[in-house]
Amino acid sequence: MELLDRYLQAIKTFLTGKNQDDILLELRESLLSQIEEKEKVLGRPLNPDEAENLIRENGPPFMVAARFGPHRSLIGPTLFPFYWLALKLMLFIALVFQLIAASIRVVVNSDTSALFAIPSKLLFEAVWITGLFAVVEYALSFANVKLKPIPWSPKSLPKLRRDTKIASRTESVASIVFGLAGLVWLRTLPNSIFLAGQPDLTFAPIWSMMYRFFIVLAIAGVVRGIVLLIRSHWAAFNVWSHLAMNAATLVAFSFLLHAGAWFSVLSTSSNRPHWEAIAGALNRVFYYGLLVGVIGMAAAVAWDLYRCFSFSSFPRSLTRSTLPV
Amino acid sequence: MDQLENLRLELRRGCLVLAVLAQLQKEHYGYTLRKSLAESGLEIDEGTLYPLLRRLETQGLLVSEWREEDKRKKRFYRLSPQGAETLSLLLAEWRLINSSLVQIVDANETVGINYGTA
Repeated sequence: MELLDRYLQAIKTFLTGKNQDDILLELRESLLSQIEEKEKVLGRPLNPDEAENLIRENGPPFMVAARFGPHRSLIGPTLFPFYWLALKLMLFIALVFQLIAASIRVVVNSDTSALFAIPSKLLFEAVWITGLFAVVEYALSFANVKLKPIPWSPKSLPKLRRDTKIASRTESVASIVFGLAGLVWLRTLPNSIFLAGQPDLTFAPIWSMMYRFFIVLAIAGVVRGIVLLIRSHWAAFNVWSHLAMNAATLVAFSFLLHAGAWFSVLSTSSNRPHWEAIAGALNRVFYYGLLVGVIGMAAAVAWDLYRCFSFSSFPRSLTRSTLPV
Repeated sequence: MDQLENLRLELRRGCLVLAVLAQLQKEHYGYTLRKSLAESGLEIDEGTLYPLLRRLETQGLLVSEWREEDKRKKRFYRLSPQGAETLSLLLAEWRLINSSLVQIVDANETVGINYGTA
């Protein structure tokens, strides 16, 4: 029954805590029992309208989910689902805007401080949203106002999403291969590959500062790939580690961009003006490459956050193929 | 009317916990538990029952396990030893409150105070 799965998927969006799948399995069983009983009384399978009515009678998804939440004194169970949804949405929007603004500042002014100010700005957003809902909660309880049930239709439930976060084997293998290649390059070959035939050029000091960071990043990529190869169903690990890797790469790119010069001329150079012209050209090309990199990584981080926070997929354990019906 | 509803819910809340614990001296899964309570005259909707079961299990008063029955996996609940002990203490308390309440109401009715038939 697709409508039932859509209903449970919508409830999951509002559930918090670690027992989500367990709660959904139990709700599913309860709904199936209700359907079974009605069918026994009628002596025939439910038609779509009857199934829709039965689901509607169980309440809108956010209300069902709210009942499973822990007792909260600041924001009560009726308002909490709205608060949770508003918090996730506002934080996501704020993050996207902050990332865009910070990227522009990095690009225009080479100012990376805006990137590091993002967490405190997000915290501020969370505090004022929480405060606002706490005030509304207090006002409602003070005035002894009960919110009326919201009319809703199961037909309006979003369509099913299935297993979009399960890591593919190709992605895991690619992560390992690229990570190992990066490590080999970082440990053995950087000078000979990039500066072959350019004996009077050298890397700017920023590279030695960032060297260990890139080593750690490459190792992390390999470890992530191995973990996902063995545990491809670790959906949460997949998306969160992807987010962490992209965020770390964004920080690294921003630092590099902030440096301004990435190739310099050796002090022992015999033809300094010639090599300075070459270093200047290389730096200009590298600048635009990094610029594209920073913008691309900011977009990737925003996309990962979108996947992590707002729109969790339907758990594998609840699809019809794995559940006895 | 809201106030009456709130008081009624408050009164029911404690009784429901007691009823659920009492009913789970015998093993049930959510749906059959709800039906058996309803048959005894105590209606409880799913939205109240399932969170209550989880809360009681978290408190150590119930134990549960997933088992297959009629080709479907169901979560069966029953009273834990701690739950059984708590139930007997709560029932003793409830009997005491009930007898006190009956005594108060009866005493008032003998002096002419009428509570109506609600």
